[in-house]
Amino acid sequence: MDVTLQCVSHVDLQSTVISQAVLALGGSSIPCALSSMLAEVLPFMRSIATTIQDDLGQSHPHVLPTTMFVFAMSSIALGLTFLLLAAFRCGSLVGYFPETIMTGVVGMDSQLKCLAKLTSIGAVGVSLFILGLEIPFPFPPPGLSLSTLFSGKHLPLLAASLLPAIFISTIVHLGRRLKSIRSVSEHPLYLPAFCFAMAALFWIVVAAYGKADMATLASSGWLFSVKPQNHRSSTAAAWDYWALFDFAKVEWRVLPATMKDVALLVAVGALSLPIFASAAAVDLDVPEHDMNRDFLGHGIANVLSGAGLALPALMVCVAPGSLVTRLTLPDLLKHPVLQARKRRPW
Amino acid sequence: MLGVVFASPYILRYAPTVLASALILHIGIELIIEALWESSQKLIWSEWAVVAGTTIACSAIGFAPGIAVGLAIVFSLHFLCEAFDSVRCLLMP
Repeated sequence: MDVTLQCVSHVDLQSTVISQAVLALGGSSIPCALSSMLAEVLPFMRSIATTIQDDLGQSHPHVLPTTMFVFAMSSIALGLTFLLLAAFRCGSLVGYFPETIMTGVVGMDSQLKCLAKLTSIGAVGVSLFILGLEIPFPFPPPGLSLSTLFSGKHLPLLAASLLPAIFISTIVHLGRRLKSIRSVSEHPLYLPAFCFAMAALFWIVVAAYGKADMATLASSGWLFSVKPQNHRSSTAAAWDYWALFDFAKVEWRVLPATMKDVALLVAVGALSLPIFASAAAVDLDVPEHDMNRDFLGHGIANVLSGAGLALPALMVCVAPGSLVTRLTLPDLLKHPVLQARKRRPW
Repeated sequence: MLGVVFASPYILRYAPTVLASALILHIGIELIIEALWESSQKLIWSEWAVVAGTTIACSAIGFAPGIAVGLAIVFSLHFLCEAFDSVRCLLMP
């Protein structure tokens, strides 16, 4: 948890900034489109990084530039795919998917795409859950398994991370049912206020405990162990993640092993854009939604973001008044494509 | 806002790990609830089995084989439905 953690967050910001700029400057036919880093590709990113790391060895100095290069390349590949889809005018293919595929050999339909989205959401949720369980381990981290998770040393960390998460989720879900807490749970500042309150509570407890200082807290896992800034022996600031990248240090021979993940990443991203964009168009009542323009805009955005060494980005939909944005199945079912399928005699 | 970006290495030192972990666990929990619980309210059981099966397969044996498993379940379900319907179509011309 050193300079690389900040670099990851800055890479996310970078892709957000670039893609938001492209979409806002007319790249999408949906007015006021927001975009951020494509979160569905995070599991692929991790497996790419693991593959490279396994191949080169843990602390090979070329691991980081190679990983960054593969991330950027996947972003460019996604952008090129979008541009190809726009060039072949495949935007209207979204409307035809149920018919052609129902009469074809393959049994997929747009419901499958929704299911694929849901399953990706589920699997991404599970992998995020496991990631969240892995974070509080002190550095160097022992492997995550049932014995290390419930060991006596780690149990307070586990409780302190899991119980607030369950508390937040409970409040949000109760707020949807009970009107009394809805004003709290659907307030846009609910989550940030919770974070600040939790941090404040943490430091109050630490101060009351008395004999804990920063080093013991970091070694037992309560704080991030941040290595000193001159770990990389470069004078670049922490936010300048381009300094970590050296084109000459990219190991080309590990690239074929990562191609499978890159291809899957591109497929997932390319499939999810029509779903999200169409549902957003239905939600926001865009009169004539030109899918090709969205493909074009997202293509340019991803190519630029790859050129800037950042991760793939996609448009997200914001439900009014909520901080975390996600599409729910009722929104997808309102899509005219799915409704057309229901009207079919068979 | 940009100030937060540049000041983040200094703030990170004081942020408890459980806070980051709680946030990520919260998002993971929300996604899992949305994928498995809320879809069970809306989908018939065979389609929900696709969702659940693919989630478990993706988590157990990796993302790519998991999606392939999900596709296989959908194909087999569609095949079974069509086979079921075709019997009726044959018997009642």
